[in-house]
Amino acid sequence: MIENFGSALELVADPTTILVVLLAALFGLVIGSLPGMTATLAAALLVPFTFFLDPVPAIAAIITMSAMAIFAGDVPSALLRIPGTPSSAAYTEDAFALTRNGKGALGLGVSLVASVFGGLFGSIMLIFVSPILGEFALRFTSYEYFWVAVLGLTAAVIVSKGAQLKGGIALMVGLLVSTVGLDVTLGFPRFTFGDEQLYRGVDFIAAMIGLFGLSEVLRAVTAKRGESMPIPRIEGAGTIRPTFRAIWRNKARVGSGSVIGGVVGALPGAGADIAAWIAYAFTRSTSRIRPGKNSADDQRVEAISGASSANNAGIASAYVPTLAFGIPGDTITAILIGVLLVKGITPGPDLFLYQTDTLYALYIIFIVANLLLLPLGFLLIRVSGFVLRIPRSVLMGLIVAISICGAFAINNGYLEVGLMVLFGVIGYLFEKGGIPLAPVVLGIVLGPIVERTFMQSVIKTDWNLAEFFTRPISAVLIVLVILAIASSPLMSWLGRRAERATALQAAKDRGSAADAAG
Amino acid sequence: MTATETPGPTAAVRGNLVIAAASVVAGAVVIPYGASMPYIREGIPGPGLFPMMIGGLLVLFGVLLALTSMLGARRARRDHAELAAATAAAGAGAGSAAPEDGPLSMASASVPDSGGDTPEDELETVAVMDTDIGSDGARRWINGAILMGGIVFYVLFAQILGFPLTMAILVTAIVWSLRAKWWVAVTTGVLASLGLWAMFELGLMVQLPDGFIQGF
Amino acid sequence: MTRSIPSPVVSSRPSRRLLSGIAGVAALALVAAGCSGTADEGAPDDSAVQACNDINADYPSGPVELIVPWAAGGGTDGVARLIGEQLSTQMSTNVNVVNRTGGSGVVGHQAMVDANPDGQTIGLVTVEIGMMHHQGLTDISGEDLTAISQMNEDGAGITVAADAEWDTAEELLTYIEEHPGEVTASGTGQGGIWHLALLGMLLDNDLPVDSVNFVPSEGAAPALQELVAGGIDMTTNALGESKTMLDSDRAKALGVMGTERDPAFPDVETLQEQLGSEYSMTVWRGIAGPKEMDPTVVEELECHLGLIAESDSFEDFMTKSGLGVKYAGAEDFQTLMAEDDATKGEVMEEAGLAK
Repeated sequence: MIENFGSALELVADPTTILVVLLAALFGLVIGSLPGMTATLAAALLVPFTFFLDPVPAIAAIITMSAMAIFAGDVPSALLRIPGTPSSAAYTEDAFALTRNGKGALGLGVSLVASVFGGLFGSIMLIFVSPILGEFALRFTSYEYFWVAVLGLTAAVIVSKGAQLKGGIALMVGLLVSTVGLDVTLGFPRFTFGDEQLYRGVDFIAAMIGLFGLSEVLRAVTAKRGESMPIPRIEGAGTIRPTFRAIWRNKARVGSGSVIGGVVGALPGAGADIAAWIAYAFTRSTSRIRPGKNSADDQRVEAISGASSANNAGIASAYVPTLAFGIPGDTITAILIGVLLVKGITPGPDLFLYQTDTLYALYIIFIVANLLLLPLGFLLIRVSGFVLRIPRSVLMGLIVAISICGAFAINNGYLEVGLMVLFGVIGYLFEKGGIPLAPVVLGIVLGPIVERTFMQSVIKTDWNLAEFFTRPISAVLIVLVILAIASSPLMSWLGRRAERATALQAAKDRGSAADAAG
Repeated sequence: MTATETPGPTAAVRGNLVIAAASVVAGAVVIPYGASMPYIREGIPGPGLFPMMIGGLLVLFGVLLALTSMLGARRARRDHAELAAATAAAGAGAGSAAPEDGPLSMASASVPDSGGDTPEDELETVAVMDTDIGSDGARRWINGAILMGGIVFYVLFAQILGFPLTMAILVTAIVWSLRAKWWVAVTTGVLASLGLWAMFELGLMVQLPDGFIQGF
Repeated sequence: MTRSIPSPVVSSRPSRRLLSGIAGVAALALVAAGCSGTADEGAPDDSAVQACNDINADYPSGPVELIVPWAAGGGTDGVARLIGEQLSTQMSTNVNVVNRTGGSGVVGHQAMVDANPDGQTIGLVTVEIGMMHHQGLTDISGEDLTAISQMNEDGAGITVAADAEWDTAEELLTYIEEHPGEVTASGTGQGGIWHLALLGMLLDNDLPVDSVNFVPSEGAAPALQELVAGGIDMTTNALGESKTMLDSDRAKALGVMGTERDPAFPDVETLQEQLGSEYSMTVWRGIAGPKEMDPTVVEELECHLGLIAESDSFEDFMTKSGLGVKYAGAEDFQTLMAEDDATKGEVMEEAGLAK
């Protein structure tokens, strides 16, 4: 084992590998921070280059790139309110609110360090529990996936904070949007109005850019004089210490986020996006504002540390089923399997038996990539602070330009640009009406999974619905779903009651105090 | 969210009623559309099942939203009255303390779940980057029209004029409409379009429309 | 299937090589080409590449766009990116792989049909071109494209979980006959190629199309996951896609729906061997462009693609990705598209998938 480890280290310490890792890291950071360019697309772009590399640097390039891209996705969500990657969408609102409150660097720093810890946790999980967890994940059928996706949907209840009904409406709008395109059971075109372009459905990246990015621009340009929100500067320097303090305060959050990310990410097909939402929902629903002790901002930091650690943990643990059985955990690993096969490495039990030095090299790369994220990430935060020193008028022009390019790049077509504009208007109107936006994205992302797994399940058993409830893993997931739905309204109702009672009590107290004084 | 304006309780209720109505209407349109879709087999719905379920929930949530916001408004009025009574009782004795604290505590109690976001957002904003780009009167809507029209212009003309030129015009127009100096607007437009062109076309190998400068 | 070596290219190459030899540049080039050809990389030799480029001196003028009708990261995308990379080196121009996804391939194929026929836009056409117009999704078919070269072909397979009670295709089919509607199958979306393969096999054995319960999935990988988890009983995707599951003994292959065995799985018998039926169902991928392309441009691309299909690096990539290499020139490929269209249309008509 030690011997293998040594030869693995030699494979990684090769100058080519180091150079490739650095270049891939920069590539990932750039792609991730561009809205509309996902880590998946970046991985696909990397593939032709990997043909000319040896196996270890080839794998290293993809792993490093994806770890960087997932974190870098947080940067535009904090600065411009446009999530760079879908998994950042869960906490975009919180990150942007922090920036507005002058704590942007802290928010990004927390997200970075949480990402690193999450990634490291995921890697460790990959190394130690890979075989066991892979075996467990292989028992998941469409029923279990259905419940996992539903659990993700319940996050809508929590992200809507006190406006659950409007959140519910927003979620339904998102789900409705997700049904656009060819249906899964019969290939029937729904809501396409005869346009073949719409057969592929509404791309959620285009929707996201519109909902969060363009709507923000729209609001800014139509703002009254003196009404536009001043954005404070991000101080890149001197954020390291407060960041680590915040992380230490929220260590439990980082821990739970990592575990959630690790477990959810290891389910084939679930991936980092759902992991981030579930971790976000979990963190939000279990954290309360205690007056005097913590502020809304502290709560936001808490939520970010949970969700951000989850998506990076998910990235790493998505490799568990990939390595163990050759089942892709997400789209990036699907690409990686292709690269592995081309390089003569067959994922599966053989890898663990006969190609251990490659396997260990892969483990080392995971650790290295996540450690490398720390300095490069802080550098990125430092640089990104300049974005906010740009005059607002210029910034708005830039956001529009980047949004259009991002939307266009999704499919090299104008449909996505049009959809982005449409969703920009929807986002603008929704915000005017106080309807939360996050559930819309949630609906668009998870809708197809919920529908597909549901339809598969009922087709399989000829509408025997009992199967949904009688399987053991399903039962556990159902309990979690019920808890998630019930907890939040109950809490907020109790909270409101308490608040009213306190206000009344305070007034009465004042009254009696005044009486005593008088 | 923005918290730019804190709508009064009645405005919030009215807004909620509009949303509720829109939601019910959307649901009412979707359900028959879903029902018109083909069935997998006799009696087994396929493509239409989810749209119908979503439509049903839209109607349900819409109705619930209308009910709760009306009930909430009534409850708020009652609380308000109680609170006012208590304050008034107190106010009789202590003249200075109560009026100062009164409105604040009332505000937090009387807007039940309007707007939805975290209370008040604690805007301790240190306005460093204060370039106010807001405008007055009709100018706001002209700006909005420039933004939207500009994007439409881009979609229509990018194929003909090519990405660099079209994007430069679009960005310049937007920046200029936000009261920037003309040379700032032009510089931004040119640099942004060239920068993005280089990045996407050369770095990321995404083909942007060339237009008439093809082969460049 | 076999990796049939394309006859036209092979026969024309020696003469070209000879020509360039006489031209004089060549004594050295021949040696160099000979070395590189036999030794390592497997990159086509320079003189052959040059000969291809000479067919139409004006082509390509600027970057070439290669449209892929399927998403980035899939098997088809991988093939396209490799071909794009090699074309780019051979023609010394940029080849941009552009994913135009959606509508079960309709959007991307439509984009190929609509492209300017100057050869600057070509596409990777897949078997779905002959299926989607039968389903009423679009009007376009292989006739609206100029075939350039077929690059790949794979036969549908039958994969079941390792602990399944059946060991041969015959046992499985007998079980289906005796217990209609009990077996669940998957492998692709409704009306997709593997669904068609399943229905064709049932029809070929005089079984009703609803005797197997088909569960639509998002492709082979999730279907295989479902298979191993016990959610479904069989999949009909190509054996290459089941490779990792087969190698780790979580699944077993009962047969392959081709006329010949899959060279990557020499132990798996064809349906013909097992049942004596002539039925075969294959998928293929190839390069095509819009209608009315300049014949010399087609010839040049065909020449380049022939070299790519022969190259070791392409063969390596395909074998390791579990895909079969099958090359056919422009004419044969055009015929294949037409024939395939007709046979698939028949099955879809019988199975009630056609509109």
